[in-house]
Amino acid sequence: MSLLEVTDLSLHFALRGGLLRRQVAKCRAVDGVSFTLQPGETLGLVGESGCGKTTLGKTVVRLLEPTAGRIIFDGCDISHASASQLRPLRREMQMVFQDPAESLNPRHTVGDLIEEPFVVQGLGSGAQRREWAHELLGRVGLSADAYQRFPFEFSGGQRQRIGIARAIALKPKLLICDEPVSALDVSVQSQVLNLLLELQREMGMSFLFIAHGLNVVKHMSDRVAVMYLGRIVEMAGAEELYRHPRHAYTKALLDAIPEADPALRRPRRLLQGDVPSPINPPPGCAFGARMKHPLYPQSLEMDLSLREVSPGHWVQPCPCCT
Amino acid sequence: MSQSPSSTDLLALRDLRAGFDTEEGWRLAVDGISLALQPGRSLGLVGESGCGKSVTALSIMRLLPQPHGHVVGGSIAFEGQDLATLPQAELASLRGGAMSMIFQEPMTALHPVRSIGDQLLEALRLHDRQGSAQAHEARVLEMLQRVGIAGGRDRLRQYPHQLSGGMRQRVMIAMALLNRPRLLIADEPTTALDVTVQAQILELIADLQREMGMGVLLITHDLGVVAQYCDEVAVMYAGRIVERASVQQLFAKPRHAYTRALLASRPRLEGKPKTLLPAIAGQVPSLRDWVSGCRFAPRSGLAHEPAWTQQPLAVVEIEPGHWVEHCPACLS
Ligand SMILES: Nc1ncnc2c1ncn2[C@@H]1O[C@H](COP(=O)(O)OP(=O)(O)OP(=O)(O)O)[C@@H](O)[C@H]1O
Ligand SMILES: Nc1ncnc2c1ncn2[C@@H]1O[C@H](COP(=O)(O)OP(=O)(O)OP(=O)(O)O)[C@@H](O)[C@H]1O
Ligand SMILES: [Mg+2]
Ligand SMILES: [Mg+2]
Repeated sequence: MSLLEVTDLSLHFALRGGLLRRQVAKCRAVDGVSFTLQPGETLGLVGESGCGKTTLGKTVVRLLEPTAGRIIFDGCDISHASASQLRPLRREMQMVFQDPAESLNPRHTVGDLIEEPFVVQGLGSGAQRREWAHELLGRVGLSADAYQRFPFEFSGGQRQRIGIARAIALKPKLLICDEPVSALDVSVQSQVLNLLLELQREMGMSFLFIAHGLNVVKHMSDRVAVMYLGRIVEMAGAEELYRHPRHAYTKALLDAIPEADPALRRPRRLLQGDVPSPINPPPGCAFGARMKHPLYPQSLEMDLSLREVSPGHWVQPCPCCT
Repeated sequence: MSQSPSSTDLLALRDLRAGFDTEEGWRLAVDGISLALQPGRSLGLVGESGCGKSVTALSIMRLLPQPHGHVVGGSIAFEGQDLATLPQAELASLRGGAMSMIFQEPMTALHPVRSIGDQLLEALRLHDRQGSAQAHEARVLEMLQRVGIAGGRDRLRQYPHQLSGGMRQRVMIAMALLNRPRLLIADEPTTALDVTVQAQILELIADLQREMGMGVLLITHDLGVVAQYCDEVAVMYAGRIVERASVQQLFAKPRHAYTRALLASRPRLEGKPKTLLPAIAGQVPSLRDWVSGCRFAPRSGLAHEPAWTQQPLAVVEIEPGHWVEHCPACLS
């Protein structure tokens, strides 16, 4: 059985304006996304900045309520579950936030922050929690003296690791990792990724792994999904996707990976056209519209749901991009 | 490094030292940094998380968190004037004008309950009192488009929390570039951006460098960005620069053991998936455990004589333009 089954999920933000705060527009941040996640599996999620990855992650663990669609977690339909129905499940699904400042209360010490999940779930005595917190600090590569300090006393990458320690404290079944290592140098990054791999091996944790570092995503993921403007446009096994990308946006992404070697320097390849906005998305295939592809108009008449082009390899079937 | 400052330097740091008053006493975070940047050039600053990169950047802007953060030694020269002694009023007119900064965490730099339009327009107004409101709005919209934020006026009305992580980062980049600074300090400017948008931003910055000779100090963990974009690189470890060279020299012939270990940890596309990645064993020394000599000794796996860790080390120019901290064990 899948640990997570997401079907046709949408989340539209209402944008309000004027004195009466009436809805003046809406932002289709996530617009009809489906995928599944098995126990012990990692699904990588990549895509253009602003395409809806964070919103999707937050909706899946129900920090946001979906506008439409269904989320089945561990056999329960949590699409519209209430806060009290969700409380016991919080232990099983956690999120590492992209912006650590968003999740770390600046008035609490690091020790308090890491022990908070245990306190909320009523686990352990004071002494036990303290011991667990110290163990977690060590695992994310922070020294024990971090315990009584405050988040502002840390560098960006150190703060990110505090967020990771908090999220893995309860050993959840599902961890949404939103850019978990983007603030870390490559060596500390390796330490944290190794920690995630070990946790997965020991306990069969599943990850939705959101990141812009395509090398890292390939290393961590069993399968990878590529998002563009609120929709998944391609999804396949990691190896397959990187070797045989089918969608034009996936190809553009892989093509733009900056090679970490100045001897292989080359002109930057820039995408043409203006980035489309989810506030007024173009109809049909958004990437085709952006590239002003001659076949784009054909996508207007089509059902753009993913099609399986080879076993396990799914692509949006628009003629402009595939 | 012990390069002598020259009159053409846009920015020159000499022996910069900065740190924090904490409950457990004084903590030095940046311990004697010297570097120079010429107009139109870009210098990458890389190094382990917590080694003092952001503190260096904030010291230059004189924006260390108050009341605990202080610059306690050395000099910071911007176009020849010493920023360390410049009165706050003059500093304020430079900041966001002739020199500007992209902060590592956008949410700490953007005001949470003011619309981004307001914030961008104000940044412009502060340094350009002549322009009309209309002209200002047009410039803001143009800059947003150049950083790849579509949605025009609708976006101006939005608040930071309504934007994605990468869009906030780009709003901050737009804000830093609006007044066409001569010095840009960019602290992890593209961490929240996918590689296509990242390329667009780097191109925009490179354009401004070509057009007006803007100099860039680029702090980043992304060795791909350094390799593709920077002219020179400085590598920091535990509050000091241990190596500095042109980007070609540094990648082709890293001389310090830390630089070599860092380059060896680059994640590769060809690696076997889901296997453990190489990492430097151990942890960065905590600020209070800093020795005067080689701080990388305990993690280097190389035998160090006591003198090499206990006494300050010289920084030597080992090849023209290639400077290294001279620890006999770590140097190769
Ligand atoms: N307000 C503060 N009070 C006390 N210590 C601080 C404060 N801010 C930073 N530090 C310490 O100073 C050191 C250098 O921090 P800095 O932010 O410069 O690191 P960095 O190199 O930018 O790291 P990263 O790559 O993780 O952003 C760190 O050890 C950090 O814990
Ligand atoms: N609270 C909100 N109110 C209104 N719009 C929002 C809100 N949060 C996000 N959005 C919008 O939803 C869209 C998707 O944002 P999201 O943060 O999910 O993107 P992302 O893929 O995570 O991008 P990044 O890679 O830059 O982090 C954006 O257009 C953003 O402006
Ligand atoms: Mg995001
Ligand atoms: Mg930093």
